[in-house]
Formats: sequence, C-alpha cells, structure tokens
Amino acid sequence: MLNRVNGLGLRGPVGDAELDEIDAFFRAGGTRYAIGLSPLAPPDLAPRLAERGFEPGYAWMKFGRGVEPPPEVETALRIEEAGADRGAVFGSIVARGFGLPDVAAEWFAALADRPGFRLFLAYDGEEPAGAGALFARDGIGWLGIAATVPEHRRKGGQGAILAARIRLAGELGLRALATETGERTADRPSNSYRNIVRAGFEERYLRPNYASPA
Amino acid sequence: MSNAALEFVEADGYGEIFRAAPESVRRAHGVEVCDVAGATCILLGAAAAT
Repeated sequence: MLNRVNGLGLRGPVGDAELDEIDAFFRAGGTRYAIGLSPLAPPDLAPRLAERGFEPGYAWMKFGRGVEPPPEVETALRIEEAGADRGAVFGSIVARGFGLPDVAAEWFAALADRPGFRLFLAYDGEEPAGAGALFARDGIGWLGIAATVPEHRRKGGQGAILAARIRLAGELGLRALATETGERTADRPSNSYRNIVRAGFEERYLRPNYASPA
Repeated sequence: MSNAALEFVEADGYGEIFRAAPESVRRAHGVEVCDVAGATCILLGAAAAT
C-alpha cells in the first residue's frame, strides 16, 4: 500500500507532465513505486507507462456486492465496533497484521477520528486479534484495512469482521460495497480471497499494479 | 452499481487513509502525500523503514 499511486486516470485524462510530476515526487524520496491501474482508466495509460519502463506486476481483484445480509460466519472470536477510544488498539493490530513499521500503528489509529470511517476489532477473550474498516461516501461503502495478527489467523475472524461491516452498511442505508485483494494465483495463499467470496462478493475485474523502473 | 462507483469509493478511502497520517508521523518518518491528476500519491520515507 505504501509508495504507490491510487486512482490514476479515474477522473480524467492524464498528461505526460502529470506523469513526470508523479515520478519526480517519488524520485525525490529515493524510492520506486507502484501505480494501481484500473481498467476504467484511459486506455492509453498502460502503453504510456510501459514506454516509461513500468512493468505490470501482481494484480488486485476488484469485488462488488449489495448490502443484503451476509451468510452467517462461525468463529470463536468476538467482533465489536471500535469507538474513538480504541483507535490505538486498531492501529496496533493493523500494523502488526500487515507487518508494517511501527510508524503505521499511530497512523492507522488516527482513522478513529476520520469522517466516513467505522472501525471493527475481533477479540479472543480480551485480547485484540483482528481489525477491519468500513469507509462510506456518497452511499457506497468500501471495506478495507483487513488485518489479523499472526497468532490469531485461521480462526474465522476476518470472515466475521466482513459480515459485521456488511450488516452495518445495510443499517446505514448504503447501496453497494466494494473491496479488493490480491489476485488468486497458484503460488499464493488466498484466505482473504476465499473470505470475500464467501461473504457474497462477486469478482468484477483484475487491476494490475505497474512497478516503476529502478 | 457501476464499477466506476466502486473504484471511486476505494480511491477516496485510500486518499483519506493517506491524509490521516498525523503531522508528527509525517515529520518523523518522511511521510508525504500529493494529489496529481485526481490521483493520490503516498510516499513513506526511508526513515520509517529503519
């Protein structure tokens, strides 16, 4: 998720000067970066990125569903919405679950005060085990930031957090939900992919990530 | 629901995440955010990886 560009080309054409501006931004930081390129972006973008030395890599699958109730999920974990007072716990679980540097915990904790976000936590007893967020805007919800700490994986926590967010979306009167995860390939585990499909999401399309040249 | 709506909400959500980085975190770890052509760029400085 870090050192990347999201939403390129979704709101209109992208000129060479703008691609140069993006490149200068990351080069000033001394890092390579990735551009997630939606099939809804202008069709000339992919070949123009290739001309600049970008290479398409591991893609993300985009999913959509309505807000009809999700299937029941069996789990021994307890799912609760996290209020503002649990932001630090949410941030800590997300950072640990994603294996991110410590800086990420404080960063994700700040989402507890961010308009549009509703945060959820899974607990094993009193111990926080997993996290996930619903972001809503213009009547549509996005389910993201799904993370489980290593010692609590394969306990059904993410499926249950998915279900809790879908139910909340229905209560909020949202019209549709979006989410995404890495594409399914033979050499990568796909627990997240399976959870999403089990929750009633339908595959929409693959969205490749273009990696910048060295 | 159109695929465009599903893309927009995700892009907006990530944009909000990027902008949520507290100023103290940005300063200490070189986190920078910029908006170009309607896209959001996030840079995590080298200091954060150490």
